Amino acid sequence: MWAVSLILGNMDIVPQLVVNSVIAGSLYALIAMSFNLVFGATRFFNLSHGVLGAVAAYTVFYVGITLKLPLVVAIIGGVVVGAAVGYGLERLIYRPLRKRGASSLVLLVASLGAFTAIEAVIAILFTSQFRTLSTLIGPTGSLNLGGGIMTYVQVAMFSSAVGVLILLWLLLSRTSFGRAVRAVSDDEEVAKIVGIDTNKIIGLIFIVGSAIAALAGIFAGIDTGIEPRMGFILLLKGVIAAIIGGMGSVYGGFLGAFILGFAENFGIWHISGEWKDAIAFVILLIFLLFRPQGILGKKRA
Amino acid sequence: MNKTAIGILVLLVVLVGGWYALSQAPKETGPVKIGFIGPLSGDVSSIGTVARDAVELAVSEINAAGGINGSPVEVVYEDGKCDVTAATNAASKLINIDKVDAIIGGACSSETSSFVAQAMENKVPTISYCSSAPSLSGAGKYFFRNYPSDSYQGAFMAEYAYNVLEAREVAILNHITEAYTPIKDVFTKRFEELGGKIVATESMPQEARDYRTQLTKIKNTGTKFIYMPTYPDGATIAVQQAKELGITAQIFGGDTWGDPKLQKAMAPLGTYLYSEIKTAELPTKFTEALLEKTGADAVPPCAPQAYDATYIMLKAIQKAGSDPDSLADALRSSSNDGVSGHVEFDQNGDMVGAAYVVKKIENGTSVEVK
Repeated sequence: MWAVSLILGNMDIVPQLVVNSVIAGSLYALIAMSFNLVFGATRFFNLSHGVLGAVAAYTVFYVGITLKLPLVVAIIGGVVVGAAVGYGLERLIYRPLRKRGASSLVLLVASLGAFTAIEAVIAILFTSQFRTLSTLIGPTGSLNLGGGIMTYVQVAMFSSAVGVLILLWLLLSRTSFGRAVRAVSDDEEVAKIVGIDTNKIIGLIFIVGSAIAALAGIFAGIDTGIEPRMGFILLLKGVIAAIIGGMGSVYGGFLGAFILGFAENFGIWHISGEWKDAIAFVILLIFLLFRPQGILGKKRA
Repeated sequence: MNKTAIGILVLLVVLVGGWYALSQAPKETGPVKIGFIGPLSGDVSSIGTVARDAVELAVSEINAAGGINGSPVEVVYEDGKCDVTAATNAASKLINIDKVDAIIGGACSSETSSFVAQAMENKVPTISYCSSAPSLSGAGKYFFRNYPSDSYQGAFMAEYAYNVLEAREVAILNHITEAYTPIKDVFTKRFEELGGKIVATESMPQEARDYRTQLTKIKNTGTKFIYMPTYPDGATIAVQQAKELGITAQIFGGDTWGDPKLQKAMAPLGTYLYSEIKTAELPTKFTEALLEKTGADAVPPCAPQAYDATYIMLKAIQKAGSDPDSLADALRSSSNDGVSGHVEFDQNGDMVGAAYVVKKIENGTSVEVK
């Protein structure tokens, strides 16, 4: 009886743990889906992807707090600038390198360079101080979901993750653009031969993928705060989710993100919170060892 | 790897090599050269950058008054990032390349711990203006600090919680760092000695940005008091998330909560307590000069100590010269009255006689709780 009451007594905590997992998973999902979208088409580990979130969050900071323009303008500005920077990197760095037949290792190093340079520029322009964006939205209410509390910002974050999933599904499965994307993902050379303008398709993928990463950065900024390093923090968990779900699979990224979110938050239910990152990385290692293609990934020959 | 990549690599090697060769050029004799280490970027930069400004202020005053025995003072500032690797690299550069006579720094205990052995080996006298880890006591003949060891802070806060707040059950959320892990341990030990109970202990890396599940567990214990020895950026987020989760317990933090940025960010959230070392009332001349430099409206923790450490070190150099042994002796026997109060060092290089006060953070600023 004692053991039962102990467990039941502790059950009060479950709704909040579910909410916490969903909040973490939503953020990871936005990054993982966009990372996998770009990875699927380009087949290189694009480290600069995370920094686009930081670019967008700082754009929101600049437009919303420094220029004091309305929140909607700031958010649209953030997404547009994030997408533009992502597309700019593709045009100025990755496309020329691909043209020269650079290996994916060279592209990875180049993306690391872009990541570091952009992070440094943000730190120079805005200093590396941690800042909060919460003044932009003021005090918000929250929902009580059966004992789990979720603020409206977090509700919006979750809705966006689901919304992006649905939009990407429609885009990839219902449009000619989606068919072209799948063709490029399967084999860029063959896609070229059948007359698909692969550079144009990859450019568009960068715009869409970067805009989603930008959205993730903006939500992270409003929910917690912004700092130049935030891109790396976003990328790290997003990439683990992407690998768990299956590299290159948008839907896998979404699934992996929530698996990671739940594993992290339920994993530390009975042990101290310092184990959270350890849990995330152990899951990553288990997948790399036993299911490297992830849950929904295709085995590559 | 293709030709372009190899080309880029060669170019990098040439650039780095060239820079290294140039920086190795023989230095002119003349100025007294000291190094500064502190977090100029990253999580604790709100404290480190102002410490740098305070050192700049002290040095400009000394140089305006004719320097040290007629030589101007030059400071090389390095970013320790509150990080072990960055601080080690910063110290290597200061010691081996800049060949400084002394080091002012680091701020975070993790910084100081990572390079103190290197500084001792190379006989570079060092004064830390902010590191509180008990493990730094007696780090070496050439190591001093004008900031008290944490063996005091944790015990002080435990006694305050038990006796003044009349807390009997406390939950702890701390950052795992050189400074805050020992503070948590000392707090726990003292609080339990007094008869109190620690109902939950959650430790997190200082970079953590999601404290929700830890806070959920703490909320579930029903405790009315949460002790949060944490660095400012993480603390701001943790407190905000605690508020979102509907936690109403009284939260009290560690000395770095003296950071004005944290206090401003917490303004809409509620009232919080923290302990801070007791310093003399800062002279207005110092406060005005520093705030004019930083453009802020309050002085963060450790800036007065950084200013004083610079004076203490340079006065000792003026008296004993830059020979490390006589300089260390001069520091050990020195008696200083600075803006942060009276400073003398014991055999371990620790500050003699530290006292704490509790301050209340409310409406973006803090006042001492009497």
